[in-house]
Amino acid sequence: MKLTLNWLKDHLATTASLQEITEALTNIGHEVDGVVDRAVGLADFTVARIVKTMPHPNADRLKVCVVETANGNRQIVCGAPNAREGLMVALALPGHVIPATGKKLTEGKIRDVVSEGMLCSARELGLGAEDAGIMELPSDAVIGQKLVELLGLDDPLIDLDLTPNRADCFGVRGLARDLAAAGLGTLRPEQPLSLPPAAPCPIAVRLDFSVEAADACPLFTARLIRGVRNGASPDWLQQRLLAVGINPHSVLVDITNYLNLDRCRPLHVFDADRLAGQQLTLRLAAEGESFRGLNEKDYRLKAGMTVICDDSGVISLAGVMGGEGSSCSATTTNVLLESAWFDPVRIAKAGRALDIRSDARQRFERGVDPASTLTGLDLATQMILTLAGDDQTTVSEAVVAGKLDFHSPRQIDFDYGLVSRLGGIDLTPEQIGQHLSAIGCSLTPAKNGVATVTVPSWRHDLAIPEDLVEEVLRLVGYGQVPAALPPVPVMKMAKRQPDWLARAETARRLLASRGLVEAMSFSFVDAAVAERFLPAGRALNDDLRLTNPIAHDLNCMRPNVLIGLLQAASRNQSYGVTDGGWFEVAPIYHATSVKPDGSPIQEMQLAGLRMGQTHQRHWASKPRPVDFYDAKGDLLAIAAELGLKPSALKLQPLTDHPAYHPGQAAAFYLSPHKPPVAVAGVLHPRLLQSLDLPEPMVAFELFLDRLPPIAAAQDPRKSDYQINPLQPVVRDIALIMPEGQAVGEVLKALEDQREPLVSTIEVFDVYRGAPLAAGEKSVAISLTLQPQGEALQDEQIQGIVTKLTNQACRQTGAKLRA
Amino acid sequence: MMNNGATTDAAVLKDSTDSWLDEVAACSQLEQLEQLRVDLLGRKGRLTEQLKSLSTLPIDERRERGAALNQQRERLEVAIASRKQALQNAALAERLTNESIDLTLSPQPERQGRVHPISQTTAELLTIFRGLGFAIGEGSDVVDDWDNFGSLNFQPHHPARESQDSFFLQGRDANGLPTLLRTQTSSAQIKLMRQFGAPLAMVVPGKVYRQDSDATHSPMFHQLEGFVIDRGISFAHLKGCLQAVLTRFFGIPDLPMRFRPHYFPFTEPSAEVDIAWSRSKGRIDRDGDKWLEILGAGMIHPTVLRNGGIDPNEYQGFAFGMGLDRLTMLKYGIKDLRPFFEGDLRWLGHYGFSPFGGGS
Repeated sequence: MKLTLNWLKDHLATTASLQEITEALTNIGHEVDGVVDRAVGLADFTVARIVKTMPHPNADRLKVCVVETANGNRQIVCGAPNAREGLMVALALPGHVIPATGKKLTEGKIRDVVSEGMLCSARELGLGAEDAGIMELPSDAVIGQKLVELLGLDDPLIDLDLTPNRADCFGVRGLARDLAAAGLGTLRPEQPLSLPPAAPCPIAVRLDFSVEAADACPLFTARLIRGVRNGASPDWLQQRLLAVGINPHSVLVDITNYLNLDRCRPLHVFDADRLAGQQLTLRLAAEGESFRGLNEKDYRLKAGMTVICDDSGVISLAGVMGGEGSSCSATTTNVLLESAWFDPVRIAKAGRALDIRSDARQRFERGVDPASTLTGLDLATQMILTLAGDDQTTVSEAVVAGKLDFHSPRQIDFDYGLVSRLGGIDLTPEQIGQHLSAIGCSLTPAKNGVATVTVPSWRHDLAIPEDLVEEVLRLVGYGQVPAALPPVPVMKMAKRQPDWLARAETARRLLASRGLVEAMSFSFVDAAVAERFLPAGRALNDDLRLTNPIAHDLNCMRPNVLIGLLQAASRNQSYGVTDGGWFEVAPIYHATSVKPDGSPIQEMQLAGLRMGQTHQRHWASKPRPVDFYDAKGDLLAIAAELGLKPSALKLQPLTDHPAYHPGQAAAFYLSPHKPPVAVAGVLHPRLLQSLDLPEPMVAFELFLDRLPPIAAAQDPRKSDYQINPLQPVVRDIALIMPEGQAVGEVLKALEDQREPLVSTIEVFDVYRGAPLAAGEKSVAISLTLQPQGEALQDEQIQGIVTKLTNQACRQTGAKLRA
Repeated sequence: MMNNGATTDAAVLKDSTDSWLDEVAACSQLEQLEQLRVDLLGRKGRLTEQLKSLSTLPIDERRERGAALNQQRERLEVAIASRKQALQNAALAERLTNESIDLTLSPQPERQGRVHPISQTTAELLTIFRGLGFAIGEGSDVVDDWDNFGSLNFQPHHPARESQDSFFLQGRDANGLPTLLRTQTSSAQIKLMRQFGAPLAMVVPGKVYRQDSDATHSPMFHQLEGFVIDRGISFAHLKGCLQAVLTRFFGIPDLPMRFRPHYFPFTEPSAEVDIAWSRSKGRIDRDGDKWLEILGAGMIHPTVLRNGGIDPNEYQGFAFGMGLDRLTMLKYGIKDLRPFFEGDLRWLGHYGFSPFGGGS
């Protein structure tokens, strides 16, 4: 909502400064977005008149003008095609700064002819984009008059960010009323109207609604005015509209626009001579009815929209937009003026369905003061008579369809004590009563501290006692409420935070210390990419597609956080950053509602991605391309930090995931009967190719919500430390096995024997080549034996190692390397 | 004769000792010294042979000569040990000299990981709220119309809904209405109220979504919702709580902030909170030229409490929702919102946080 200071002062008698007014507006809930001093940089410019023009002796396109100023005539060279004798112009003198260029004007010669100033175009003054020539000022302008004064620019523009509940403040008078209530002055009384005697209106209005739809339009008023001239509006009206960003049209239309802004009273004018028949009918539209709006667009209406019809059909989409066929033009002489009250919900639905954003819709859907229907009609009639009428102009009586008193005032039983209990500030009942009266409420005397408050017709937003507390608080000022720390209740809650949150925090610090950078990417991704991340056999859930994405490639909710990290990789590649890694903790999405089996809408995923080389080139450490074991290492490091035993994570090759290399990816399970808790692998070359990304890239995923719950009350004590005085013994074995067989099989065969004295089993070398046969590998394993109680003799050690090895070889087919 | 003989003998001994000591001193290698030691003092060494030959001498002569030889041996042993130490020292010194390295070369490279600024801010705020006794809750990003609007007292078709341009999904809820992405973390309120009941003090961090995209708006951003519900909670407590939290968060005593009236369907009275900002200095400043909105808040609307299964006649509560991205930008001087979500390693390297909060 925009208004100017002088416009506000039409309604508010105040001595307050602009700053006091804007501060007060914000403090009572009408946030000031900005104040524009429209006169800035224009103070120097004045009105002048071209007395005479002569051709320039040295240039065909230039003219030498004699210009009359307040201080005598000056000679000015001008190139504008519209410079002509008698024209009132905007004058700049040497020393003045031209707003568009920021340059100071100097006196000088143009092609050898002295020029003592400049005649300005609107663009040069920062007043418009067009530059067809110099500004043509009104012929009745006064020579020497300040340009800002002539154009009404010495009136600051205030831009407000109004809240949608305060329909009453979508009119300047409503804002003045609220400021007066806050003590910023007094609301000026309404000017009495003097409408001439009137004959009955020849046009009838019929409300044709079923009982259920009667609320669509409970009141419709109209008046026929004959013999008007629909020319241009007077300057003051045009300037007001221009100041708030509305283009002047014609006086009739301008008046309706003006009162819409001034009084929050939407109106409409029909050219009475373009109406078919003698009756207007209001009804609900039928599905598919067509309508051509004032904006010359054709609309197909939906059933249930409120329309105004004449004998020819729909002529207006009630409360949203008038029709082209009955609109007023320069030739209009007889006008039917409309003022009505339309149901906010229906207006909102119609406006949204047809995507029409009009000032009328904006107000009706927020709730126009029902009491302004007839008074608004009268006020507009008066303005039309004044600005477009003459002594031949006649007005009809108002035709009223529906009930004038359809709206009964709302009453709220108000306990004064609520101001203290809810608002936290102690005020006397008198103080509270004064504030409520100031906004137009009437109060009955309090009984047991409770008064009945009658709310004014323009404040439909006040419905419950809490609303009245807010009214009191905002008029007192929120700053006046004392601050106190709340007594935070002691809650009997099993867990004070979600498990994933604590785990994410740990993982975040760990991964950052391992060199990964935390990213945050959009939850919506490209469905085409998302499909590449779904496990084999699963299709994208169409429920998770956006119907109104912000961009075509952000059109579905992501099934995997890696998608965002790959986009980050792509962006970084384009910046020339080819090595590095990211991680992100974020939800991934499965459905739009909880399924009957309890499967969740979303779950938390931790994902990491590394690309390129392990590190930059270094004199002592040769970088290498990232590989599977980097991703697996990240994953196992987090798992360990989160308290998962490495042996608890069962690895399975992941051979059929479209995003991963079929031979270099694994899924990790905590239970064979449940989905994997983690995945690690090299990303599929085809995926990278499709995203135009270079190989290699490796990734891991950890599904935080699939980890076992963190016990609510954990015993913080650690087990007793047992000192073992006996030193561990290490024995190495080497086994030969086929290339295609996983080392893990041998390790499992060794571990499964659960030899109590073996504390660790580690692979320390994998060898291929002579003297081994092709397709074989030799795996060197170190077994650490921790003696318990007594030292181990060589024969014992050898016995254990032999037993383990033989068993593992039998089980896996591996051979002991001689 | 005997005396003369003894004298001569002693002189011979002294001469041989001096020459042997010279030999020791002349050793320049540990191996050479060891060879000399064996040659003199070893089982068949020259001095050892002399000591062995003592048994052939008469008893008197044997004692005298034995003492002299032993004394000679001790001197040699000391000299050899000392020479050995000197040679060892020299060898170590030479080794250390040879082992000097270029100290200016860089150590093994390690990648610099970073924590995202929004994570940092979230963690800081959660620490403050935990300290005040708040629990932490969560809600889903995908919600239905009731979660996001209906339960929060948004009237159907009210323009207030449009102020939060929602993203809709193809999936429909039980009432056939399109599901959507939550436009505010308040959408988690009702379920948490129903889950935990009153009294309740809880914060809910999370992602929210609105159709908006420019330097200060992103279609996805982050909020932290908070609410306290108990008997006797008033607007004064809302002010006190937010003042305490924001003062600690920004680390600015007497943080210049103001509460001004606003409208939210789910709170009554409602407020927005601004902090004073200096455009020229680019930071929070009591004498700033601008107020910057940082959060919305208010007393929970009785309808919302009722929807959450809490009796508004018994309990009152306040709620607030703060923009985590905005707070991050203000606290850490980050001017553009868009790079938050682009994963640019250079940007994150600059604005991100080291793993344990040190550094920049």
